[in-house]
Amino acid sequence: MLLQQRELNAVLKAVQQSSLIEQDDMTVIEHYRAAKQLAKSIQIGFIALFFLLGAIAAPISFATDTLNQLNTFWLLLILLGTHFLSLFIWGVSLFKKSVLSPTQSSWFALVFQKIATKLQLPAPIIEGYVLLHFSHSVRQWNIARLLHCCWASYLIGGLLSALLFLMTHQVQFIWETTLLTQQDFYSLTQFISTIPSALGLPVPNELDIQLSQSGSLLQPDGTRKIWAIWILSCVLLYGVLLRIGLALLSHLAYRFKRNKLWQSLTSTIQVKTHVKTEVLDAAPADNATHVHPHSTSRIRFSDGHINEQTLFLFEWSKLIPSTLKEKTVEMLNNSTQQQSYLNQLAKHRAIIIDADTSPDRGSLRFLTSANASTESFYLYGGGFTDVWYQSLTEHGIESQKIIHLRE
Amino acid sequence: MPISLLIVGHANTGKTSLIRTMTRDHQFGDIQNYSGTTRHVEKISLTLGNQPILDLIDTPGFEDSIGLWATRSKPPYQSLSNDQWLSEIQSNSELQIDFEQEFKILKQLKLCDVILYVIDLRQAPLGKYLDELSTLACAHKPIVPILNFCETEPNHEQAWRQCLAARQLHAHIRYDTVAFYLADERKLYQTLQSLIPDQYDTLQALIKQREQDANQRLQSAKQALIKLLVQCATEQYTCQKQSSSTEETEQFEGTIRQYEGDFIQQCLALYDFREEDVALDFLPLQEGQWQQDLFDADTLKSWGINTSASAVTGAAIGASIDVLSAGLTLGTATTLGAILGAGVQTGRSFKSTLMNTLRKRSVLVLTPSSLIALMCRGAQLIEHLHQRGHATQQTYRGDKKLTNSKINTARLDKLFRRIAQRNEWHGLSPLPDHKLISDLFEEVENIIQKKKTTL
Repeated sequence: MLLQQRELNAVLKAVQQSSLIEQDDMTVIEHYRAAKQLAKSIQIGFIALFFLLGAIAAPISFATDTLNQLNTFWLLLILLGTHFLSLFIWGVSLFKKSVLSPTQSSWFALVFQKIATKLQLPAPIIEGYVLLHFSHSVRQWNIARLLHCCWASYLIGGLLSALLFLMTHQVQFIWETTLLTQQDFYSLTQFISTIPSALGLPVPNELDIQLSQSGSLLQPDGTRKIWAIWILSCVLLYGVLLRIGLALLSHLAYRFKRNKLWQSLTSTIQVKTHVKTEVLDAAPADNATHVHPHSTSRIRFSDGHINEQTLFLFEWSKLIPSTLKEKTVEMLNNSTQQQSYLNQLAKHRAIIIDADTSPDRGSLRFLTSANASTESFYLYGGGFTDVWYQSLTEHGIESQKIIHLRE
Repeated sequence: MPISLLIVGHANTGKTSLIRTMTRDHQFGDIQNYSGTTRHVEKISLTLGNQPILDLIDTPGFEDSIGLWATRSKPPYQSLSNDQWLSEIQSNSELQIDFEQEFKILKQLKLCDVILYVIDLRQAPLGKYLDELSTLACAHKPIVPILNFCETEPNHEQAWRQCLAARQLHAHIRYDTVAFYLADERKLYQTLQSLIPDQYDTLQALIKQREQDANQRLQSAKQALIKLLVQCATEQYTCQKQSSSTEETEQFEGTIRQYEGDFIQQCLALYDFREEDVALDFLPLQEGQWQQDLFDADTLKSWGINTSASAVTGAAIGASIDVLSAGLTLGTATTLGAILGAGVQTGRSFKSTLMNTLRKRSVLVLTPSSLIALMCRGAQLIEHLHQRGHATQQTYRGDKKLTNSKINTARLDKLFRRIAQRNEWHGLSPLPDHKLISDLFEEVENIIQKKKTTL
């Protein structure tokens, strides 16, 4: 038995929900297939049983008196009455919302669980199967499907049995009533005959009805045949075909609800939009230049006091620090300003570096070039002070020139 | 052919973070605070139906664009065209040592379709960044600036916008590592649609898929929250005596926390985050003694429905029995079946209450106020995960303020009291199609802030 991918996912999810123990996926699928096969066998068993019962029950209803007379409408009522009553109850149940758990009230689920347990199928698999096929609205339509199939089977059994009976027995079809007149009875027969008549089947006329009135001893062969065909066609149209139609509708509704349930169970499966990564241009193995800063315990600190120097803010994105507001500061934010700084040979100049950003190769190249004409390098901020200190000293800047300027 | 997007920018501006966010993959590349974390060029493909749609190419950051751009105006390159300069400079072995990282980017410029230039808005448009843009412009490829850290204050967004406009770069995308919205992602793909019209339909399909994925994740997370709330509301702990002991209370609380932990795990798996991304503090729980409310209208209605449902089932079976005897017992079996069915169901409803009353044992359940708190916390978590970028390094610890003005606590209190009566829903999955559940779903929908998550 092949399972669709969606069903496989739903099975794994359902079993995962009902069991805390992790199970091998293949084992789960094998057990689930067995459970599915079992449920199918039980359903076929029920349908066959109903067929048998229908075949046995129908001849009993043809039990006749010594005159071999059969009351036509009483016979029709026996054959189709309970079927319509059951249909009415089912119709009412459609409008009642069930709030029961999957294992409650579903007689088929109970039967299935009993047999499956006897056959030693694992409990999580049984629960998983019940969840996938017998929970909520899925259960409603699955049971309806089975119910209609059983009834159709029962009525087919009864129909075939009745056909066999009528082929081997000769009976007289009569009608008797206290409340209805002959005209009323004729109207009723015509009403019931609407569909068989539309399909071209022979239906009793007024003469046939008159000849079949209780007490009429002589009934022609033609009338008997018409009544027999009429009864059988009524059972076929109002019983068998109606049930088969409802079984088909229930099957479609079941499939729809089941797919919705499976979708809801598998909707938490992660959607992966990427498939692979590929290195297009690898860095050399010895090119790992991550900075691992050493202790900066030797760094000099300044609490805002800056010597009489010309100050330059290097690659500065922040507001000018309050400690520098009264001082003249210049910017080193682009190549022109930086080149100009390098070209001038002024004395007593200091560069203030934003130590909240990490140093990069370009910054270090410029600062190394500027070292000769710079008196001090102030590190302002705290995020990357250690990294800056280490990088600057590694690039040949004397450690005494580096000062951590506290905010 | 998939669209090739080259992700470039200065070192440490969040290029790898952007890719992690776009691919929802927190394992891609390496993210550090230091410059030069990414040393090689790496490609990751976004697929749709197993077809690669986008190739995202991560590159090392520019570190010395001033030095590189300075060569453009120096011999022997000053007389060359931009294209020629890009080709020639890469063959200069002396410069190769100084600009190894930059050359890796230049090599990819020719191969890509669109350049995504990542900008750290915390930094002003300094000369080095503008030199990077000048270098990239030499490739004559469309450039889409990505404004990263746009939620961080203060930032230099205005200054950057002016600089970009001066360079005719008007179509830029706002993005933040911490909070990434589907609307921003959509805007990025729409920008790509306008830049590569040949791929319009493909990108449209990708947009649709990404929206569907996001919506599916959100809906699944909401369902998980509702399951948690029903599970907690219907959780009952039967004590040994009429009053609960400390041990029993702790055990009960442990169970509730376990349920919440399972919910968090489910959400993390759903949004593809790691366990360490969320660490919620303990929530103080209140337990109340449970009683089946015999006079609650909803409980009575529930029994009415249950009884009818069983009666109908019983009646259907009875009808089958009638058929067997060909109508001789018509009506009798149907009535009997209905009575039996109703009796069994009513017995089920009362059984546990009766047994606990007879044994003089109390039952612990969670109070509606704790359930409301759980609900708010769960909703906040979903909201956070829905817009959390996959490059976010900070652990989410929950918001201190749990409730907001949108919550009608009186209505929720009533709703949770009614749900608590439905102990038959405990452990049920999926949950029944019932008005109480749809009401709860509506409440969760109301709480979860949509902000930019919907387009």
